[in-house]
Amino acid sequence: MSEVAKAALETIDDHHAVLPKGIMLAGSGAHLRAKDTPKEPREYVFRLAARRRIQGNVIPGFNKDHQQFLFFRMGDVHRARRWLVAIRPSISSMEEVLTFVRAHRALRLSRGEAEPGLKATWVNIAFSSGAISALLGPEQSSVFGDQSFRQGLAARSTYLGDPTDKSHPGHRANWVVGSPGNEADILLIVAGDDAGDLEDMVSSLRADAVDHDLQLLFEQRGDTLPGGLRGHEHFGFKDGISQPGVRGKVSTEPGDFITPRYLVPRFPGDQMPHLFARPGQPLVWPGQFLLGEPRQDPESFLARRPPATDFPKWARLGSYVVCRRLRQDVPAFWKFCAEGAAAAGVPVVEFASRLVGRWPSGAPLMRASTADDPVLAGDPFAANHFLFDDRTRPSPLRPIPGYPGDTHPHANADMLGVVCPHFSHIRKMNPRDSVTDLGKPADTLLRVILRRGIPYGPPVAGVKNPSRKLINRERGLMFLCYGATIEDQFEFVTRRWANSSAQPNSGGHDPVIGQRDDGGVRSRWLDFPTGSGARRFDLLHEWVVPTGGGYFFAPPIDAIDGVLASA
Amino acid sequence: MPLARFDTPGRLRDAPEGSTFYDEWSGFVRLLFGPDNPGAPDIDDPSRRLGGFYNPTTTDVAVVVNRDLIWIGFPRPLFVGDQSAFAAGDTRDRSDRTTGGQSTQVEYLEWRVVRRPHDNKITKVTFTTETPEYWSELHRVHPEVVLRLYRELLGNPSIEERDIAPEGFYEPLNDWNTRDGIIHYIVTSPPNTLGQAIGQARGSVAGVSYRDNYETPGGDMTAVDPRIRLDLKALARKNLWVTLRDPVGLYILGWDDMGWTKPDDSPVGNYWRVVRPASEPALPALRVEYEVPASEGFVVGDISIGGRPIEHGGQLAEHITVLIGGLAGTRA
Ligand code: HEM
Repeated sequence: MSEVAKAALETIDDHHAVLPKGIMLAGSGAHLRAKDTPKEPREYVFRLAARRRIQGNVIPGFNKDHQQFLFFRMGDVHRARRWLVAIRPSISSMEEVLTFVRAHRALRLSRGEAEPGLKATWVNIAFSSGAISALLGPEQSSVFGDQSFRQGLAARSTYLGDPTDKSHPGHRANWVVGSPGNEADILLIVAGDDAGDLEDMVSSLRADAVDHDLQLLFEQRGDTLPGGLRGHEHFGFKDGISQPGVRGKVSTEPGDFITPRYLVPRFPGDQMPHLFARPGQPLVWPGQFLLGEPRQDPESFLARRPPATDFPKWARLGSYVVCRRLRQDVPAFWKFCAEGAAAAGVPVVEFASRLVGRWPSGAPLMRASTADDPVLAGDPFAANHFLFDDRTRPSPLRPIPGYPGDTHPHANADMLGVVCPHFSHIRKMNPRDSVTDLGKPADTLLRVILRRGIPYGPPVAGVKNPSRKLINRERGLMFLCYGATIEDQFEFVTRRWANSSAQPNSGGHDPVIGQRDDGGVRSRWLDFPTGSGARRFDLLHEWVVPTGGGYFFAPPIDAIDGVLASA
Repeated sequence: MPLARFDTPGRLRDAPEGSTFYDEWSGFVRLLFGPDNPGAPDIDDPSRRLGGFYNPTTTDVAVVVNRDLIWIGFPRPLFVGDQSAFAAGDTRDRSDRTTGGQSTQVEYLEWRVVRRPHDNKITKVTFTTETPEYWSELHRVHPEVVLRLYRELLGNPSIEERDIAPEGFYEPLNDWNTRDGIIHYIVTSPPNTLGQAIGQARGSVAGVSYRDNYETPGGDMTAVDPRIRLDLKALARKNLWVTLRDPVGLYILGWDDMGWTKPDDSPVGNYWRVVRPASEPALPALRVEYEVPASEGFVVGDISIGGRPIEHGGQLAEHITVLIGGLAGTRA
């Protein structure tokens, strides 16, 4: 690594968001009493029975600092069924996670503490198509409408642009789990605030599984990065900022939304409060993530379309899970950035940020076009508030105690991708207001996913003078996402957008996750905007390499013992 | 300086050098463009007009943006439909191109599938973005060239003038462009025509103006129509004048055959062949054929895409991108 790259990497933890003091931000799932939201749209209510069936990592998401992913293969099916009956009470529901989030918030409000020591350890479960076949017979698994799920990740690997050359470390044959013949039946996700509690839970789950003839194929621990890099991924960038807002309410009480709503109308009849939960967080009908719920209408930001029906009845309120273990070569990424920066005549961190679309702190380029802005990054109502194609207008918010309002400079139109390039990871993954290769921007709401990933391996970013040994340790992202389809959401944005130089808008491949394989040739490119026009860079090396995973289905909790274990 | 003349799509040189056809084509496109179309009033300041649509052969604009308008060739109405719609192979694929049900391939990409009789496996898929206008105009000036091209492109020397112009003038829906072959677009609702595409572009600047795309109404289910209209409208509200780039036409920008595999599961070779234009640069293209060379020992229908055997031409169309070139600039 060059000195420039090394220096950038070593100091990347200086770029952490400065959190505002004194405002109490509601996490997803928190109940805001809203006397000031006069007219609410009629929205679907998740009743208690439904909240107890939906797994908690789907909605609202575990969001814990320590997680362990266990990949099992079933042995004797009868014993596996007994294990399912036994494990079912340990599976954490949406209700459980929501209750925790609300208690946490209440404690923060009453005690004024940022981290009120409330702790939990949670477990969720998901099954491969093969496992459902083994437990219920192939007729049941064939009813799942998502063909990619039925095929599995390994069968879809090269379609996602993964290497076709068996000698490449990213080739599916070389995966740690999920390679053909080594595909997991069951994925257990264990998440906790306390590493010790997590480990205790994992050992007991592991022992119990083995007792029931389940074979542990692989397990992966994930942890949020320490210190100033908390919440960042290994390259050094803040992750987990932008998530879609799931529509729906917890009760009929006014303001009791799953995703807290903050916008107020700018003028009579303004639609924006019905389209966004927070500025920049679009509302999406729950059927995009949960089977059998009202879905997003393909032609409208607002309207819903009736639920899908292409799944077995018992699978209602379940969700497809994509798990990809993505190895990150951090020095390679920064080496490329250092060379690119020199060639483009910009600072290294700026070059890297244009690849991502955000600065390391998380501040979006759209609102901080020339330098990182940690205060902007820390402002939860500003850090995700921007459009790409047109000037972003201020979004009036209801009064939020302690919040002075969004005083940061608003984003200007960047239709041509000069500030936040079309190839940048966030613009690829979520083109927001832009028209895409499928036309109207409302279509993009059919592509969104709920991301639940966590880094694995020891960080090297932010480490002064890292040893060779540390540099060479393996690290990456345990990428996990939920959606009501795999094909039209995860696979869509991966294959058609990240892996394409021209979709959704022309300018190059996604330099973070884009994959290409043209008869073994894996180079990608991007047209980097400079003061004097675009400059083409070829990406000859890869810094994100798939090393395992699988496609799974997270069933509603009652189906675990009621259906999957009962045949 | 304004553009001297509209060139043919893909700078095709079908007519002999020096033929009057080239000027006539330019004149024809010029009529489709019509006079400049002024922009809509600014929604926040109605005394001010936003950028409009201009005819580059009459109006001089300092171009600042080359905007590629790109979309997926597979019909979006089916793409976003429920999976059951996909399963109905019939709607995904009109391999016979008979007249009547011409409402499926609505994204300005049309294709025709050839199957081998004994097992119905696909052996060849031909894609086109050529417009009926071009062929009608060419036929008006050079019927002999049109006949020669029909014979060459369809590999059938027995095609006769009366087949394609039974009443003495060119019939776009002749058998060789519908039931028995593919030369250019036939879809009529909404029409895949050059006039329709230019009309969309021209009309984009008119009507109510928006502040951003969240204010735009729903409407067309296709990918292409919002792609052209909303993108040009968004440029126009930045006070740019917009138009379509010469040579004006619809193009196959490219394809993505990653994850396409031979029967032995190894990656496919490059079986794409750009047929028109025959001259370089081949891309963007107007006519592309997909066919496995006989030496490979298998046919298109033996290929799998992401592990799924090819059964319909639409499975290929999903991985083809279509392009129309946009321009925007400032006007003194
Ligand atoms: C090692 C691999 C990856 C890295 C380092 C990475 C990094 C990031 C970062 C730094 C952000 C910005 C933070 C935010 O907006 O939340 C982000 C956003 C995002 N990423 Fe990734 N990512 C990776 C893999 C993926 C994959 C595999 C997908 C899906 C196919 C994905 C989808 C997204 C989406 C949807 C967003 C939010 C975009 C938005 O709404 O603005 N990422 N990622």
